[in-house]
Amino acid sequence: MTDLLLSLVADYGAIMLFVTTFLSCLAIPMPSSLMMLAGGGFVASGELGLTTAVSAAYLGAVTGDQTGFQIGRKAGAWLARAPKRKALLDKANALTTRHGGPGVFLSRWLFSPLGPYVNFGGGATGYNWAAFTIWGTLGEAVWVTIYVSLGYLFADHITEVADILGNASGFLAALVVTIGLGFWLRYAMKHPRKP
Amino acid sequence: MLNRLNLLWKNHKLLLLAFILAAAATLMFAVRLVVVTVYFSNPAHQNQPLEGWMTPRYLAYSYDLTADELEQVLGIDPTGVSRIHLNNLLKDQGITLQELQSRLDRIKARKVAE
Repeated sequence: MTDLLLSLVADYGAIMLFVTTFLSCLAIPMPSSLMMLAGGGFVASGELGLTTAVSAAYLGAVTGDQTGFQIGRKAGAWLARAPKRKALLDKANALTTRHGGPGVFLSRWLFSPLGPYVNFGGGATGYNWAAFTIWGTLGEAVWVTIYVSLGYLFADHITEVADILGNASGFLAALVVTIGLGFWLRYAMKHPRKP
Repeated sequence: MLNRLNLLWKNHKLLLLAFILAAAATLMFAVRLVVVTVYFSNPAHQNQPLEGWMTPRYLAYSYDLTADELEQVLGIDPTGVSRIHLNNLLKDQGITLQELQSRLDRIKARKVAE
C-alpha cells in the first residue's frame, strides 16, 4: 500500500501529497509522514518543485482539517438533540474554549496522531471556528515544514527517519492521552458519583 | 490502594480500561522508539534499501551515483526516464528489485575500495 502510494507520487507528483494529507486529517490511515518525507526527497532530486510540494501538502492538510471540523459540527448538532448529551457537549465546550488553542496547534504536529480526532471533537463541541482555523493553519505549517525539510535533508535515509518519527509521535500522542485519562481518573476518584 | 482500585473498577470500568490501554500503548511506542533508534545508530544499518517507488533521479541523488554508474545499475540509459519509478522500469526489463540492489551494492563496494 505504502509502496503504491509512493509510486503514485512519482507518477502524479504533488497532487498525491494533497490527497494523502487531506485524507489523513479525516482519520483515514495514510502514510502521510512518509509521503511528505518522500516529497522532500523528490524536491532534493529535482523532480518536484519545493513550493509545489509544500503548498500541495499544506493545502491538503488545511482543507482536511476544515472538512473534519465541519463533519464534527454536524455530528455535534445531531448529538445535542438529547438534553443529557447536550449538557456534556456544553461542558466539553467550556473546556475547549479555555485550553483549545494550544491543543489544536500541538495536535497538528507534535501529537499528530491525535489531529483528526481533535478536528471532529472541536467541531462537535462547538469550538470557535476562527480560533480553530488560526491555530490549525499555524500548526499545519509547522507539520509540513518539518516533514518536507527532513525529507529534503535526509533523502537517502527516508525510511529510517519515518520509522523514528512515527514511533516518537505515537509515543507522545499516547503519553498525552494517558496523562489526560489519568487526570480524569483522579477527578472521578475525588468526586464519586452520588448513589 | 487496592480498595481504591476496586472502587474505580466498579464505578469507572471503561475509564480505567482506557487508561490502562493508553499506558500500554505509551510503553510500547517508547520501547519501539528505543529499538529503532539503537538499530539505526549502527552504521551497518544506515543503508536505505532500494524501493520500487524510487525514480532514477532519486536513486542517483540519494546514493550519489554518477550518470555512468546509474546506467550500470539500471541497465539502460537513464536520460528521459526521470519520472518513471523502478516498479515500472523493472517490469519493462523483466528484472527484480533484488537484482538491482545487488548491482548497486557492487558499485558501492567498488567505490569504497577505490
